[in-house]
Amino acid sequence: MNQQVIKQQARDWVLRINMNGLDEREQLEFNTWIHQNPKHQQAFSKTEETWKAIGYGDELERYIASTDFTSRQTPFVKYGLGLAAAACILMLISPFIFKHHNHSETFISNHHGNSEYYLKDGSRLRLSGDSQATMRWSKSSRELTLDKGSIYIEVEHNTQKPFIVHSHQHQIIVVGTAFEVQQSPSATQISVTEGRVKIEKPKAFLWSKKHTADTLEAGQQLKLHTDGNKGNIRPFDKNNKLAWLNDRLSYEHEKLEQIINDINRYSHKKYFIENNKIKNINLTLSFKTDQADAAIKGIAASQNLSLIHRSGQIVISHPR
Amino acid sequence: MKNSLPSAALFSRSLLRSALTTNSSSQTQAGIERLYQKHWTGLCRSLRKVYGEGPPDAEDLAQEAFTKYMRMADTSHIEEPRAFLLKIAINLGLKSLQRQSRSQDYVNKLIEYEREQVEERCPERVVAARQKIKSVEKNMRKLSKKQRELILRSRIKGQTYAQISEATGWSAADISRQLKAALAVLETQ
Repeated sequence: MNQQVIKQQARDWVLRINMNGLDEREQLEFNTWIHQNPKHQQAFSKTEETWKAIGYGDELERYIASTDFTSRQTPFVKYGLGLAAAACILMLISPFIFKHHNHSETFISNHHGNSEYYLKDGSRLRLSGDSQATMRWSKSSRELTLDKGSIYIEVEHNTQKPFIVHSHQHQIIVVGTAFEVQQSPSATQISVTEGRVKIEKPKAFLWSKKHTADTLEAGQQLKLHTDGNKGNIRPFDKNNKLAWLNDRLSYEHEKLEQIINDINRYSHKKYFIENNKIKNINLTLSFKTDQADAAIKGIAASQNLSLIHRSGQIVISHPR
Repeated sequence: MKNSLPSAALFSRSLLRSALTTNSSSQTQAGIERLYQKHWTGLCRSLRKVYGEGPPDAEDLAQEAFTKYMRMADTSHIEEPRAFLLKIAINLGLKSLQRQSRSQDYVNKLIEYEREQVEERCPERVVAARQKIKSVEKNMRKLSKKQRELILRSRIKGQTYAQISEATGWSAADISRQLKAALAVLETQ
């Protein structure tokens, strides 16, 4: 066979293997071709070596700088993307239009920061980063389910329609007040800043004499665990606890585990603590929510911890 | 924050610690700090140009490249640390896209060009590999703009025929033809 033809075949195989990969049928085809003639293997190796050498020269940076890597779509595709972008903007500015069905509305905030919404009754919802809540209206009540994250609610007074917040198995009932509900996978924490809220006994624990309904006054906080245990009612520092409302995270003698939970809501990177000893490190610090990643690096440096990239997460551990 | 050096002093110290615990590197802390200060932004800029918003994430690749560089026992032979860091990062990027390992099932005679490994090979292979890199780089200048873009998209950005076709509007047949012609030019001594 003509040497030029073999070289072209070799280039075709190198490109197909490296760019698309081969399915089973193509693998068989390739194996047949490569063993057909020693010249095939020779030509393939030569092209493969060339392919591997691309980009190893010192001029790579210059070539990258002078190349257009952007997508140059056809007009039809551009139009489609334009419509998608318009839809996204509409969803951002008006969650009610798209998420309103069966008298329920869903409110979402992402890693970029807090979101703020006003309900039709005048109540105000403020969601911290990466949080989600669903509001349902009925004739006799206003009910909000916290799906994840933290929410600060200023409830418009209405004695006819109590405002009920669901988080895990708990129901928090209010008439008119302001309070924060923070949900983690294992607990719900309620912190009241104005008025009074009542926390119902969870239905799952109705049989238990240990459980009672609780009432929280302004300045009080309570943590309810999903396993049925709960903490003591205690005072809290409003400036630290609710610093996120002003785009800050602020802590005084807080466990690193809690700090990382909060940071994960504002960072695209996902941090994970490897062991309990590290989780229980107590820290006092304050930083802006958009500086969460830099804060972690600072914590790691000051506490002699390593940040290791592993399976899409950044693992916080002791240096090995 | 993405465009700037993220708490360089703090982060490089923690990296330095991990580097020193795994390898008795001859590099000094001041040297590593200087390396960060000098190359971090430029490295991230190049990686972002190739991979955009990712994946893979430009900063993650840059961090991994720095870590790998610092763990190398001897870096005295590296004349252009920035170019070398970029190569490590691009390699990591391609690995994360699972493009690079595909051919390894079929051919065992692949040459790994990472110099840290190359140094351990026989001198003839090292010289041959370096000559190959030089001739390919020299021939890159002979490619047309379109061919160079296709080579960089396929080899550096790790795009498939379908992805390149979608991004550029060129047909798969045209891309294949141009790439084969480009490889023919790059193969010449």
